[in-house]
Amino acid sequence: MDFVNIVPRIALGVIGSGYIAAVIPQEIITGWLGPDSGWLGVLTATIAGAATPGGPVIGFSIGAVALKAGGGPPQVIAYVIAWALFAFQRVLLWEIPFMPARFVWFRAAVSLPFPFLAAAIAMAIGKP
Amino acid sequence: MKDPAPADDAADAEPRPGHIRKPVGWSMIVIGALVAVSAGLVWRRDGTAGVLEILTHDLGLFGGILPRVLAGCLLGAFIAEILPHEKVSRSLGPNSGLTGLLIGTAFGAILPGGPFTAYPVASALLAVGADFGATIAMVVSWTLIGYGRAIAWELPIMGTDFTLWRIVISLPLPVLAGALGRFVYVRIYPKGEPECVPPCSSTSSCGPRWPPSGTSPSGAAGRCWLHHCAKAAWISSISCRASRSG
Repeated sequence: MDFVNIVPRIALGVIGSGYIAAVIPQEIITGWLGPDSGWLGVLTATIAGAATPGGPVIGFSIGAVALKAGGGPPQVIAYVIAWALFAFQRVLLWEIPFMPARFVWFRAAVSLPFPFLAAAIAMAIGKP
Repeated sequence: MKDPAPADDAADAEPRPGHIRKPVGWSMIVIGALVAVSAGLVWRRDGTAGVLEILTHDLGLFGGILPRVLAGCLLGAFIAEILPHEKVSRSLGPNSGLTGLLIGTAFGAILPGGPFTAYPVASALLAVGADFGATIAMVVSWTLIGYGRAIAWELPIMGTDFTLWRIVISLPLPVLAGALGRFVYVRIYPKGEPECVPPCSSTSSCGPRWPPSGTSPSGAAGRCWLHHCAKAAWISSISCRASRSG
């Protein structure tokens, strides 16, 4: 049963992010991804999202850590969307092996504006 | 129960045929080590009380999300059973317009499974006549608004409020990405590419569609197709294009 396999990962993600949030100096997250970091924070978040290794547990846990430690929602949105679009490990392990490489690079290139667009929408509507 | 683990796309525990999926992959080990170090630092700073306080709080959170994790697993399993895969892989060609992009977006959003189903399906769509635009819409939609990862991972870890707003904000992005893809594509490749039916479709062993008709997507035949035919389908379509243009 996959539920049995998933539960420990969720447990580690949920409980673990609490500890990681507790030890990450808040100034780092708030300085880089905080509500006042603006577009530089969005750019940092986009690069960080693409460079995050591992699967959804790590990606979302880092996002949760950033939120818990005072990161700005638009920056965290940009982080999560950049992770979803560009996470290098998924691209290298899954997308390139199964898709024509030309499609993958093309897809990645036309996806570049979207973390920034999503952050702009989040700033405009003031949510989440 | 079917494999909803779909949602887990990373390095950990890729189910290659003939290999048993490991319950603990390296990403779990990395994050486990990170958590252990962090917990150690909390203990040094705040003592046992600090460690227990965080543990109690997050255990409560974890208990609250368990039913949702179970619901996500069941949902993934049921949808994987009932989705009409063969009908879905039509109407996505270069002239499908906004409708094609919307179909691609909707398909990506409801597509069950993880990267080991989504990318082979997208590749098969490309091979049987979908254009880059619709396929980009599908892939981007799968990563941004696909229910599998959102329910299994994002909702529990990031919280309902953040996840819902993140998805609402993401809703227009797949169509925009697909439209941008088409816009750029016709300018890079103005001649377009001739439609090619992969030779694979004429052989009995490899149909062009996944999963092979009458088989379950996560069953042996479906996985066999993904690993033996998905690549052949697009390689043959590429060589076909190359021979036409050359």
